[in-house]
Amino acid sequence: MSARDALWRDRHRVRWLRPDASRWIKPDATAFLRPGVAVASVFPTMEAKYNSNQPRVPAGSSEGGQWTIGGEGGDIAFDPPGFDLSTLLDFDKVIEGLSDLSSDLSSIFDFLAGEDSGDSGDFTFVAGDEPDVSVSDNAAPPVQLISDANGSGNEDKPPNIPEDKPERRKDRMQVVKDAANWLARNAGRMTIAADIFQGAVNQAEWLKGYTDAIRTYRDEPKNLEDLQRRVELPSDAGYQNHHIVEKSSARASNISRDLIDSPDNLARIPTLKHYEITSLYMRKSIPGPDGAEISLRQYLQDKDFETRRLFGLETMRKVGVLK
Amino acid sequence: MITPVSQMSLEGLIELYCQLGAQQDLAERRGEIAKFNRLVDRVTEIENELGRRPGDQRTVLLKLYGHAVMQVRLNAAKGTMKVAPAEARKQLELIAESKWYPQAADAGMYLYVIDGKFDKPRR
Repeated sequence: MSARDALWRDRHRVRWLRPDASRWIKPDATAFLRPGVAVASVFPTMEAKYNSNQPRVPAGSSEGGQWTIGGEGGDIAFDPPGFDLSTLLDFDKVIEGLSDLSSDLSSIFDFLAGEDSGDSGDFTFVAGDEPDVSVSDNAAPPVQLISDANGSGNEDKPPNIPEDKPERRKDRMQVVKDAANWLARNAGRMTIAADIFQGAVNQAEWLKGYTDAIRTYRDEPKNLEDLQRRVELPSDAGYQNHHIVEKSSARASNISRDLIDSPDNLARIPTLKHYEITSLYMRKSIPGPDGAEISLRQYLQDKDFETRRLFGLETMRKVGVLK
Repeated sequence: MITPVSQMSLEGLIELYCQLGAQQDLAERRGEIAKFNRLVDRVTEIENELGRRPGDQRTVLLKLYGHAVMQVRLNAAKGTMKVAPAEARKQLELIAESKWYPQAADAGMYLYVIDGKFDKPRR
């Protein structure tokens, strides 16, 4: 590894780790270490326990006699010496992945035209068309590779969290969705990595407004009564009210407003799940009558309210908000 | 200049098929639904071209069930529904159960439609 790469890696290591990352280390963290790795080399705080040689704050100050990690003078700021996440996660690979991602992003995004209308409505859709990616460009998009758990042999790498707020809404949307999805996939099985990544998300100032949406994306499915009862409560960060039967397309089909606006047609669900359902209705993803794929919205345009409601409930189950 | 699919080699078609799937994945994550839908049409165009070739070459898509990009797996499963329905269904069920969104939801709704009391697929 060149000195430049090492500098780049170290910068990102600092960026990705909170200074107090040790607080997020779970008691069972050692179970994730490679065989033969000394626990103390990765998690010095876990092995420290009692050490008669550990320095103490000298007498004469209010903290005199307390254990300290730093040298003389009682530096109580925790700066874990030798905290080597690479032993745990093969951090270099993660960093290399991020590097590749960055370069791919710049090359792929260059072709995109048009700018956003502002900060509002990040979870809306880009209605206008942009030039297609020319396949002859042969540029590989920054894809999310399926992880080991799915039998592909790939790593499920944490997505890149840019330090600065992306200017374009679509770029912000991608970061937020990727972060939420990655945490949802990994919070249960890669506890430490997920905790550290959550720390990185929390550290990014520009993401502060999205952390509720990222958090609620991991909500467990609930029954319909619970989701509908929440509609009556005051608004709740990270949640949105969702029409089980799509409002605009139902109106376009002259379905009664009483049915569309009925409390029975509303449920409060996580914001990003709401987004996912809307996207599911808009994307061509199901077989149409002539063999070509059509969108769910097209499929339902001549269906009655009850059929739309059945589909509406099913989409909620499929995205994991309804039991 | 883009080569018409009818003049592309089998390997070229498969490579293009994978690229388009990866581009769909990105477009969805960025909320570019119009672009995603245009890419669906191009994916279908390749599937149709494979189907026109001697022996119905859509079976080559079976090997993409193990592709690293979930959208490519999903496309391959749908694209082989006609030539290997049992394998395709199994693959769609796996994707639906994977909780890898949004493809898990797409696969689930696809199965819901073809299994439902509603319109049957005719592809």
